[in-house]
Amino acid sequence: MYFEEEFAVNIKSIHANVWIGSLLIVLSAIFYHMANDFINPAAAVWPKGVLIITIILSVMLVIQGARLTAQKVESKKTSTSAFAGAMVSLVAIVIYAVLMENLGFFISTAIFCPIGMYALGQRKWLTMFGVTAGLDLFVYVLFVTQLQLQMP
Amino acid sequence: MIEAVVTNLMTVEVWVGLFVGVVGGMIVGAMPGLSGGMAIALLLPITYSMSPVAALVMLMAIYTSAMTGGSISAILLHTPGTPANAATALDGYPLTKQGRGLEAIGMSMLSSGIGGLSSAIALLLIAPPLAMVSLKFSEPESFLIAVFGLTVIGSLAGKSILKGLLMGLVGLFMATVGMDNVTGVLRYTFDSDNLMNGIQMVPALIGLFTISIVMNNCEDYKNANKSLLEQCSTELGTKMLPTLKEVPKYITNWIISSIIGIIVGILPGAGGNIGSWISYDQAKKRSKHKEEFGNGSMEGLCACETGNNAVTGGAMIPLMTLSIPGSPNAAIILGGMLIQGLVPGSRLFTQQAPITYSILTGFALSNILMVFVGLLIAKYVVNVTKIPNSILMPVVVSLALIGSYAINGSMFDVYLTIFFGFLGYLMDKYEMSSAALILGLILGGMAERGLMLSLVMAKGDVLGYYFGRPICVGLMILSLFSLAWPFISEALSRRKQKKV
Repeated sequence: MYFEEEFAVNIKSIHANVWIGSLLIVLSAIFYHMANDFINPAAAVWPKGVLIITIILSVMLVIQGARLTAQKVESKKTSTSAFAGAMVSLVAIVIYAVLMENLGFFISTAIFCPIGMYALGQRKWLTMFGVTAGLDLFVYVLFVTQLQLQMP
Repeated sequence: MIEAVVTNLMTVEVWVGLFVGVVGGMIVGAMPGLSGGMAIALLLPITYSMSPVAALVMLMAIYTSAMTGGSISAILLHTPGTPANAATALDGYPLTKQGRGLEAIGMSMLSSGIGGLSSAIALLLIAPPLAMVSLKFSEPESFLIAVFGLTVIGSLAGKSILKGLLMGLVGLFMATVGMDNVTGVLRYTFDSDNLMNGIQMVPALIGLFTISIVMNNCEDYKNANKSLLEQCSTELGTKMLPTLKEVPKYITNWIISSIIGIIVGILPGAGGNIGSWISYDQAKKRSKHKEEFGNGSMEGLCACETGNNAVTGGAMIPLMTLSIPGSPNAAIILGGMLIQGLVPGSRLFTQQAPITYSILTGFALSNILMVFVGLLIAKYVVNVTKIPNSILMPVVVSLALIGSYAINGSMFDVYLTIFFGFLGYLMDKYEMSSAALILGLILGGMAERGLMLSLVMAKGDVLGYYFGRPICVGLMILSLFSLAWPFISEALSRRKQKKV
């Protein structure tokens, strides 16, 4: 139990640069390996060159991160509630995109915008629906009638 | 000749075309995902029924005004309206947070007008000799211009140059996704049709600059019902333009950024995207207040807006003299010229001189009109900063996603935007530069194509080939100097401090 706690504490104290560098090394190695399967080897020259340089610089970043860890320099941290707020907004945007694909832009926007505004603290219903209607109208005039874009 | 130009320009059709071009260009440019090229392409069929002067003046007005319109959303919403305005967002948005949004827009309009007007004058006076310069540029020079462009990453990297370089490399790698231009091989597409065209720059730009900011703002969701100014505890300033005493501070910046923009514009394929970044980098290197860059520097804003608008006239130089478009938008304008029976070449400046010089003068006038229109609307658009984020964020997301969709009519671009938004959010948390990634994505294709084709042209003697071309040698020296400058500058300032 004591070893697990100490291990958990040590993991948290590792500077973020170590993780970022390591991730970049792994991804670069994977893509480098994939480049061997290109039909024409000439097409692999440039990506492989870029990936090799990326690996070299990533190793430098890991070393830099290890030094910072040893010096007990902490990475910048975001509070859990702040991170949760950002993730909720991301999920909402993804759902909006899915709705857009299935219901079309105008209906999905009519759902997303008022809900989004309410979630962010807006309480004036007239404002919420007025802005949503105005947005839909603006996009219709500009994108559909003027630019003749095929909407989702 | 002057009489003919004045007669050609003093028609209702020309002035309507001018006004429609300026206002329409600014509106389209301000919308994320929409570009001046899109507006030019859509209005092209209308020009069939117009006179040559009115038609070309309108199209060129759209071209230059779209870049300026893009700066409005870049400054107020951190949402570059066009890729050329990405650099504007770096300093424009921090200025807005400081309550200097009106001042930033005013400077942007003024600098855009100066850049555009400078390039119009260059186009009028020295187009044919400047066009000869573009003929000397081939694939080796394209590769080295891309390398020089990448050295700008040093200015964009912020605290960690190593992380900045890594993000630039990630951008370069992302540019390899899709069909290789040289060999036709599909790379890293994972058998997806959507990735055959590669990772499009505009969805990535919208994601990195817009969606990530929305996510950042949603961190503090409890205070989301406040406006940006309320959250930053600032008030909207009333100053719009630099005072007469402040103007001399920016003159060198305007001149150098205009020259950079014109030269970049002349180079085929480079475009406004690169002009703004190089101008920004050069302004930072010369500045006595480097620490302000990225945190709300008026000099930085001035440089990128002057640079990207100066590209417009520069791109027209090889177009009108050699039929070689200097940018994608210029290529579409070529179509407009051919519709009107204006064939690029010496005839344009001899037999058709009255029409040509009328168009170029109209282009110069469009830049002046753009400044007035921009300054007129500035006081109204800046009120966006007083709108609570609870209203603004959903609207911005909506416009960002439909803007991404509008590029190819594909939902894949929308999902790509969201992915880059998430990536941009994480990158911001770990102090990695989104600007460096975007720059790598912009320059990756150009760099690879230039290098691979020049290797073929070199026929085994790569070093000899590169060192045998004077422009290549000059670009190599410039790139090395640009790379080394941060370290030289630091060493020089340490020496000064020791002496003191």
